[in-house]
Amino acid sequence: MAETRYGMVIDTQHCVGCQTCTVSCKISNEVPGSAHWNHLESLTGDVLYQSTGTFPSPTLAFRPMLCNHCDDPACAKHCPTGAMHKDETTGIVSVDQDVCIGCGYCDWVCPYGAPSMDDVDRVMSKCNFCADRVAKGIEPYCVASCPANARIFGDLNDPTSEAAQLVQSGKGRQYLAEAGTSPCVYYI
Amino acid sequence: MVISVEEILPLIVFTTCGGIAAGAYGMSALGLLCGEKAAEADKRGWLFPLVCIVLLGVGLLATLMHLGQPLRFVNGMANPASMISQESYWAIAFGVVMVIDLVVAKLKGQAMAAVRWIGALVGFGLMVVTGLAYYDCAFLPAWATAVTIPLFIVGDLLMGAGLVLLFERAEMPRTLHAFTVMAALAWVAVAVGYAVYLMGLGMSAGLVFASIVVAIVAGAVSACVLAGKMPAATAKIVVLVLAVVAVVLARWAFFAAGVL
Amino acid sequence: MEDCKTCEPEFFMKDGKLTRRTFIKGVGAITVASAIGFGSAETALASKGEAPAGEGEKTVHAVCTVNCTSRCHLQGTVRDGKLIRVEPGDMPGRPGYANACLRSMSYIQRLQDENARVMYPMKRTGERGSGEFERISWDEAIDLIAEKLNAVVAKDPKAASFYSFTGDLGKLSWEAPTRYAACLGATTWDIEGIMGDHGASMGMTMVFGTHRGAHDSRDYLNSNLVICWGRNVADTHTSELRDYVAARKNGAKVIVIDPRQCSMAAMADEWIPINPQTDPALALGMMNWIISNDLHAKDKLVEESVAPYLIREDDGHCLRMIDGRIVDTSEIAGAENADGSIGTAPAAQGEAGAGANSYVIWDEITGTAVAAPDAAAIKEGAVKPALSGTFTVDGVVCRTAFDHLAESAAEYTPEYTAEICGLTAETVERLAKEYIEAQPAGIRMGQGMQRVYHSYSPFRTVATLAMVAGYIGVPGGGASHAGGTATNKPVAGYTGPVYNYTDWSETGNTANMIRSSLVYQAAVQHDPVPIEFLWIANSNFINMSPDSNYIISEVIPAIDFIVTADPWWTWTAKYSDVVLPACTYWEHWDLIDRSPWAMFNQPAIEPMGESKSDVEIMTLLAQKTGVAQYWDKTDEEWIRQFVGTDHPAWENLDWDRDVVGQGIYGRDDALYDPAIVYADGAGYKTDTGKFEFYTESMLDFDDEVPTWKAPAEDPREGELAAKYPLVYIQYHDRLNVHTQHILNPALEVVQDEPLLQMNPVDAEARGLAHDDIVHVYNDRGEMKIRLFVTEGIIPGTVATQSGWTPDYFIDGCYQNLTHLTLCDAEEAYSMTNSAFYDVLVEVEKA
Repeated sequence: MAETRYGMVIDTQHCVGCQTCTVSCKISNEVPGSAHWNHLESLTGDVLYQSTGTFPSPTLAFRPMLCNHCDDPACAKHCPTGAMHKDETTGIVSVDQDVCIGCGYCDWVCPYGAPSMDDVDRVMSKCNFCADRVAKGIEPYCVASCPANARIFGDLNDPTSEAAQLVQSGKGRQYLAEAGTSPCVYYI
Repeated sequence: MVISVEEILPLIVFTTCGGIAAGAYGMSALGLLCGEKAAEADKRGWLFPLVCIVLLGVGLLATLMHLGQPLRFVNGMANPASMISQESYWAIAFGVVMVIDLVVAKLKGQAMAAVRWIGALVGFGLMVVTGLAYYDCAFLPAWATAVTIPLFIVGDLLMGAGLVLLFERAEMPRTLHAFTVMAALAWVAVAVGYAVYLMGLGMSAGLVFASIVVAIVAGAVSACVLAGKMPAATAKIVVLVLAVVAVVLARWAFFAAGVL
Repeated sequence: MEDCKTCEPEFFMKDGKLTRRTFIKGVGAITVASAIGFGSAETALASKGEAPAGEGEKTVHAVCTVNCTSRCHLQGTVRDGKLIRVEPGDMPGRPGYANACLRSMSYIQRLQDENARVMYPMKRTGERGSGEFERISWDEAIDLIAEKLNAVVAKDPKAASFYSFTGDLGKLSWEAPTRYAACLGATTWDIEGIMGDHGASMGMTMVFGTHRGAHDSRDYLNSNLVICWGRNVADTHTSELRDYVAARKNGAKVIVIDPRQCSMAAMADEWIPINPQTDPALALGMMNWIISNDLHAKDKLVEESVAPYLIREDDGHCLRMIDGRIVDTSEIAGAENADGSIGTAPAAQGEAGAGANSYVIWDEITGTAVAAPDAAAIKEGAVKPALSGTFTVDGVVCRTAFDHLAESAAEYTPEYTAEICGLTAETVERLAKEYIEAQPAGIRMGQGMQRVYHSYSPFRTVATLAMVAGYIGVPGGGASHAGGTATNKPVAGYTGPVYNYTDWSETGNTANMIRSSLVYQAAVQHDPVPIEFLWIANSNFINMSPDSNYIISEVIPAIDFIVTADPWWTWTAKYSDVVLPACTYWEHWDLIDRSPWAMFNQPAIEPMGESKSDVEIMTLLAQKTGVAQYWDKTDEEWIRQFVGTDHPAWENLDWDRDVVGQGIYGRDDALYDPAIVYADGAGYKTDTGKFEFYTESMLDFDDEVPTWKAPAEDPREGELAAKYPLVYIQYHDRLNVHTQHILNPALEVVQDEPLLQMNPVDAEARGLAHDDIVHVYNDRGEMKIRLFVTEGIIPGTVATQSGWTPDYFIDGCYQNLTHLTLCDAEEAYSMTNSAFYDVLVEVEKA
């Protein structure tokens, strides 16, 4: 197991669906073209922003999505080039764009729709947990910008980190755990 | 997770063209096994591998079109665990065998059964890894079903049967028409299974049903030939066209259903 | 409140250096001892940090001056002269407040897009509205404008109007056009009325004597219940949101009252879907339940409000006593100073507490009528004012103000309230019960409930509910409007101004400020002033004012010459004769002074095209219009002068470090604690010096105590309701504050066109389906728009997001549907508030 295993806990109870994460990531990481490394889904239905259930007590809830930086990432497993890879020292899954052939297969096999085609450079792009910031001890953009503090980032291997504690306490649950990729993003 | 229409076309071309070649080698080998000697006797035995090579080549070009960085295609063979890499391995191997087949046929004036057999095995491998590549997309529900694999294998064999018929010099290649009927029946079974699966997902299966109808017609044409009610010369073109149409219809549905 | 747990986080002390949010323990992490659950206070309240600028990059700062009033300090990154990134800027003394919303982040894309910007001075060549303009030089533009303006001013300066609204809240940008008007003695327009924010100010002023007042949002850590009433904090005052999240994690229940299940409702415990325009009825229903169950805060009402004040049965006025003698109402006429402007200036109506001694209460100890004592005297037990009862004083029969309130509220039984509000009686009762039992409960009010006819009523009534419950001036309580931040503490013994605005205030003349509710009337009927020359700045007037068809067909044609200074090619700009390119807040010097911080804008990038700041533009014009002497400084010189005083607030200011380097200065005298308002019953700015739910000036309108009045366009009955049965409201959402953010490219992924929200019940009744294109119309106008069917809106009401420009509608625009209907009561009190959400429409398949 890697020494450090970065992960995130996302609090869907307090997510208000504003997509500051989506936009902050897109702009701050200068994600090219139509690619997005974050996106938002309805937690309870098919159409984003549509309340589910029945008036007068419907539900409005959201599931912010990003790369789950899986321990056993489907993208890396199925990538024909090895461009998709998991960094053993941080647990961060990223794509080597100098190697990627842009076949798009990672997008098809990822349970989370995380890889996003960079249609300017015609290679895959994806969330890398803002690795450069993280290396300096600063939170990823999506975490720092969340106006609801709904994202908690940290080292899941460090039992003192808030993220690890939330996972340990059982409050956070993996999404689509049955995909068997051992995701490092948890949802409350 | 979303697959656009622009993405579908290269996939159709690759799986269809490559699939015809692979299926044709399979059917050709089966024909040999069942005593069809025509291919060996054919003075133009080199034409069959040449056509198949061209078809595979077109298919591979289509895959390059699908890549964001086609010039880096060599990078795509780096991961044996990836069915995309496997497709490359098997496609290349298949291509090599076909070139050998071509050279042998040209030099010897007739095809060697052993080479066809090897070609058939490698082609089968290509069909399987192609099916597996889509089957592995666990979160594209339209693809992540066991039916996906026979959908490619049986489809390729049906189209291959049509192509083999085209190269058949015999007046009345009963065995090959019988194969066509069987392939069409198998295809109908697979396609019905897939249609039911798609509908279970709440998706439209109209194109798959169209495919079933076309395949039944293809099978019926071969059956008519077998029953002596249709001239074989006309029939073989008709059967090839119908078989390809049937398979392309279903595959279009298959790829389009990846659009969620 | 005896059970109130007081949470006072310890880290609000200004430590003199900026902190950076990190996730590594011990690296700048700020911890707090509190019982906050998961997500802990560290996350909730620590600063959001940024890495040092990379190679070839420069860190820059600004304060967002768009009118959501959050006023967020932004940190930007510039590379090759272009802004590439915006992040939350640090907030000294209050790290958890650092915020940058998706709008401010993506704004840099639009403001650096030369196709979206007005790049050069432009002169109209085609018909108004045609969008046909030619480029002219600044000299030509200023000469042309000066010629027109000088001619008008020579005849009557008041016929020249300067309409500067809230598109840029920076001191210089916002005030330059009106300051310039003051130099000429020209007309300016009091903001708020036509833009639909004034009902809140009127309601607040009626009861508190001042038009704003809020608990610092961190105070909700002390609340057991927080009600967001018509306020979608998540999207419309985003900077506060973290405090509500922290409060909820701390155990507070969060309830959202809104016709829509807005974003805030996504994090709330409960959404109460209320019919639009009915919030006062719900507050009265809750009040009635509380009073009927004898749970009202009798002591607080007696001490801090006008509840025990005696009201004459003969004329409804307050009983007045001067020198121990009961006087007739006519003798004190004029004492009610209802004339003060309460628009832009945070002014009270008259001197706070000026008439306090002339009011009368009934003292239960002596059994006599005596002059109303202050709260302290009552607390000491020297007097015991009767809360309730009928008394005869010098032959004048009186009842207490509280009895008037209770009587008004009594009508609002749970059943009646439920019927009006579209709720069940059980919900009304439960809400009242939960509210009074929370001890304490805070209410955050929002302008969403006041864009109605009789718009003062919602804030006034909800605030009165909070007073009846005893929650005004209590930690964890309050009925808050605006804010989120604390103010400044006075420096003992120092009386000089904090900012040096002496020169800025020196204009040699005064502006003729007129209520903006009259601007159409002025243009069309020349009453109260004609408008021959109109300067529009900081405003997309047509897009953000009611009844755009009327503006285009009647108002605009009645005005001879229109100049618009704006960064954007707005709908308004296209109807102007000259359009001047104005800077955005990333391109010029400016200052935000309304907080414990001084926040600065400065040119982070070169102004786009030939754009100039409002001060630069007015300075150019001043040279040609004879008022150059008042415009003798550059933007930077003004800012340096503003903060260049001897006031102790600036003792540690280092211009290069704080202004240039950090863009924000935490004042030395500032209060960074989570302050509340009206603590200990102090601070009411009313004439009585108390909380006034009894308003004498509203007697003529049968509205002396809070009531609910039916909307102007009532969906309940009448011909109009039969023809147009749906209530049409707008809301501000995640995508746009007003029109400035339409459509920042990075926001397209969020939503790329306006949508009409409708409940499935209403959709089915009209044979409509989700995603259909629908035609929305009434007698004033129409729009074609895509339908968004959702269970998250109350049946009978449809809604679109405010701020979309006509370019994004399939046809028409939402502002075609709205109306400006003057309200007598509001005009009498101060000015009409546009009832944007008091509109009936019908919807059919397009």
